[in-house]
Amino acid sequence: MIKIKGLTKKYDKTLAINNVSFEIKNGEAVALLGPNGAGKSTLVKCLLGLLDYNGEIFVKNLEIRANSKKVKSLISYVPQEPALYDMKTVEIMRFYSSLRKKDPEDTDRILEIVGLSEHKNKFTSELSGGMKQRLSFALALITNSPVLILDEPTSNLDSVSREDLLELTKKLKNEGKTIIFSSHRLDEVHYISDRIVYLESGKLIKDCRLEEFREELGYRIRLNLYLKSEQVDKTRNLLQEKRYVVSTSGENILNVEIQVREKVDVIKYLLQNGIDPVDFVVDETSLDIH
Amino acid sequence: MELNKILLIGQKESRESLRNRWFIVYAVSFSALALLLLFIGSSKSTIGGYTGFGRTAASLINLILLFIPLISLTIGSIAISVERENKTLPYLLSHPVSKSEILLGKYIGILISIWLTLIFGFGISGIVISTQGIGQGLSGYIMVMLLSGLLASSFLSIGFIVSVMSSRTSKSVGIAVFLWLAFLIFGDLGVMGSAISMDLGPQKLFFLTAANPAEAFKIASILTLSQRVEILGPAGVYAVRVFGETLVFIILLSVLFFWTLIPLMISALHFCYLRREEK
Repeated sequence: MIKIKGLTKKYDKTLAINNVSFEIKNGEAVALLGPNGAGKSTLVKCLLGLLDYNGEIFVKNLEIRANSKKVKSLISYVPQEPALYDMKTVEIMRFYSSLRKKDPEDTDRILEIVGLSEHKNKFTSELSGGMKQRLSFALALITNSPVLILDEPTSNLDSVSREDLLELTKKLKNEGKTIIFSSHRLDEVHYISDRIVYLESGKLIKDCRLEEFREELGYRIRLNLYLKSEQVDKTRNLLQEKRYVVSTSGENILNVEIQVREKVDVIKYLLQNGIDPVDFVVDETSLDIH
Repeated sequence: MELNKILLIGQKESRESLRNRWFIVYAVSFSALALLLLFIGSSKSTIGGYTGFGRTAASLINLILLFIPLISLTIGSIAISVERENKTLPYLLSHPVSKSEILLGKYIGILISIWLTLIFGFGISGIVISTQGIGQGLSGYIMVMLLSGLLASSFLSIGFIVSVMSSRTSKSVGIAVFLWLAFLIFGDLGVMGSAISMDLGPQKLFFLTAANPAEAFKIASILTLSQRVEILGPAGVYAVRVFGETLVFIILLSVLFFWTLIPLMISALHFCYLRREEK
């Protein structure tokens, strides 16, 4: 469905994307991962034809630059920050569906799906951040394109909206849409993606399945330990002896930075040394590759 | 280019402009001042030989010269830059629509909104005059309204050049206000200064004056409303005697068309070809 060959993008002297090549099959969900400045958003903008670049990008065998409108009609895009005109929800839906020559009558059904039916006559300026992002999603749905590009779509959402949108994305994936999903959150990536394209400083570092990525690169996660007050200091000392980075995020809570495969080892080590944590939470939201 | 997409964007733009509070302030002020001008003079009296519609149109010329370039320049100057600032432009461009369709659609949409303001202002005054039973000069009144529409289109095009080159609305509005001053105030002073310092003859003086779209509108409107060409000053009198009233009018119309088309083409060239990236 999508083929990227030798993609290179320079901003003045900065190389934002450096000779990146990969392919995405029809119906595949691929996560673009990487720290800030890795080139994820630049890659998305190249895919949308918003930036000039060197190399080639094909969508359904159509090169973007030569077939801009045809390619864009195959892609729906949900930006990181909703970029909406200050119009009524229903008007903005009709505007973009008409622009895509789609049936505006579908508006009510899609607003129902994203839970905005009650707000259809509100201006976008009256909507909350979560509602705006739902509307961005609704706009991507009404266009019903085979490729869906999501650029960190949940970064500004509350947990309920986030879960709803992830669920919806998963449903779209199951319906056979090709999805490109840029995110910092590994839990989201794990939930939606079949494959990971990991970028760093504009270079493609890894293109593999999620499990392989976890094994080979050993990304770091945070283990939040809830402890009895009398065991906090001893636990900190024990962990620091093992050279773990430990911080405190609340009363009797220690945060330990570990590699993903070390979770069980840490708990075992603490139990062997007489520490019995009250509870623990694995926080996979932050990405830090080593 | 697809006409339906241009019209769709135009329709959206008109709706948004008519909701814009600055636009409403301009429209209401223009209409209120037009009515005020109408009521200031007595309905039975004459000013400079004008009566009824003609007198109102003559009073409106100066009001139009202040308002229409200001509305057109400021609204035009933010047409694209506000979309860059709000990130709606890259999002719109992620849909199957070209930059030329966006530019043209926005231009048509905003122009229609300004024309509606003009029709509203002229319409209210026209209705009031009609109810007073003074019907003379209706054709001149309508002609001044049409010329105002052309004045709006030329200053809107100039505003669009500012807009396509800018990413910040505050900057574009600043430049628009400067241009307004340049065309409306410094322009006149510049012509006067040049005439004195370079000892320009009436022909050069006429062309130098008429090159300014605001002046072209003023002279064309006065020509439409009055047979007394001496109101135009020595350069105007000279031009009418040498070229004839019709040709002078055509020259002035051409100036307004020139200022509509050329800046719009420059905007399109810059927006579609020179600045191809929208981050």
